[in-house]
Amino acid sequence: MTNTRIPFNPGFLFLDAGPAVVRTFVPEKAPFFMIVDQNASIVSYTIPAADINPTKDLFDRLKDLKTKYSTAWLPGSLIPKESAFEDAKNFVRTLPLTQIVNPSIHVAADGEVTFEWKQENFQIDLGFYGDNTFSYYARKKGQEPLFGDDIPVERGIPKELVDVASAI
Amino acid sequence: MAEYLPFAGKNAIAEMSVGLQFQLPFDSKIGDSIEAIKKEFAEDFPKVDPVQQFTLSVGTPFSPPSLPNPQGAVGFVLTKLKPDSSPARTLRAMGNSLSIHFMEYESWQQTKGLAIAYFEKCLRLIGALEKNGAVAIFMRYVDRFTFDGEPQAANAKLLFREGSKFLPSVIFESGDLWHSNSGWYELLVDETKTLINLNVTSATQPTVNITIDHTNIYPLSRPCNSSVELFRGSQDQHPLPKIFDRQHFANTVILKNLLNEKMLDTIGLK
Repeated sequence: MTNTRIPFNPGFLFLDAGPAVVRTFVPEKAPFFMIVDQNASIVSYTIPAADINPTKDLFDRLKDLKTKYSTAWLPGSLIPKESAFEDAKNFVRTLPLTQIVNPSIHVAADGEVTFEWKQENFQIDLGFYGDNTFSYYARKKGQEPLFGDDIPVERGIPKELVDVASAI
Repeated sequence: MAEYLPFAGKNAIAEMSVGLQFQLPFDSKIGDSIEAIKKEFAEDFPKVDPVQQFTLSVGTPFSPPSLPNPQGAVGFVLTKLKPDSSPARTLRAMGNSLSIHFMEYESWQQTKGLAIAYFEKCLRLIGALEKNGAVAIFMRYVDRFTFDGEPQAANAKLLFREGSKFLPSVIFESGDLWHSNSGWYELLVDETKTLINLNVTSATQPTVNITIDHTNIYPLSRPCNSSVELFRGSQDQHPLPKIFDRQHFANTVILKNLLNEKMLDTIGLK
């Protein structure tokens, strides 16, 4: 048996049911929904509230890592400082997450909490040791590498990194 | 400590949209312009879908017959997709309105510039204004905040200013599940009364999310049939960029009255 996909073009449906004007709008990749007595023109595209919140997603990942790496996991490895996770969370609050995708987050053996953006033509590595600063190294095909050390977390992500990361 | 987080890092805006409402719905003539629209917007909106309309009638056999379905497209949806295939930006002609939806909001200056440029191009190509005047301008902001903590610890006080004139006091005692839907008129520019709808909702699905949904609808003093008048204004009509600026400002005023100092600081509105 084969699966049959029925293509939906965006469209809307007027259901003539007396005084209640019912309109149904079918945006692609969204569930079928129905609007009663509302002007269809102002219908939002916004993803349902249950969908992922990019900020919360990163906070949850940091919480998981903090639990996972609360003891030394390799001989000689260092447990990340509580303040490294706090710095990472404060840094997330500065990210323009509608412009750039979420980074993957890891913990290094020396206790650094690291953010990584990696695509075919660029890579950004950025890390926190918990001293209210971060460091980064970025490379992009055809460009000189970018790097920075001991940047105060409150300054947030440098614009040059946003430019690199948003060019996906 | 449990707290509310803005939707995307330093930004709480999940969607921002602006639109023009016309006297009448678009008819099938708009379908003739789709090829030109597709070509003109190929770079900014690579995905193009025509919009079709269907009408179903329900009720007694004595109901008047419904209107025949128009043949062909009666609108279009142009989309720029994000890498994850969700829409980043859409331009939509549907029903009686032309609207632009931004799901990647950077700044008001950038958004305003893009919106005006898109409207100018689009109106020129579909030729709507001459036969079907613009009657209203709307702007909508959907801000979202997600609670980072156990649902039972959620409390409106962690996000909102107690005593805000835009919220009933009972929500501050209602935990994670409540809503407040309201509407009123304000003088936005001169003596024109602008309709404001403010719907604030808290729901747990499964994390606690608070959505602030603010729509501002500015009625033009009379139907506008000229793009020059729409964009540059006339003796009795304010230009579109000025109206947009005022609508945006109205949203800022509402947020400053709603959100507590901590969140205003986080999203850069303090």
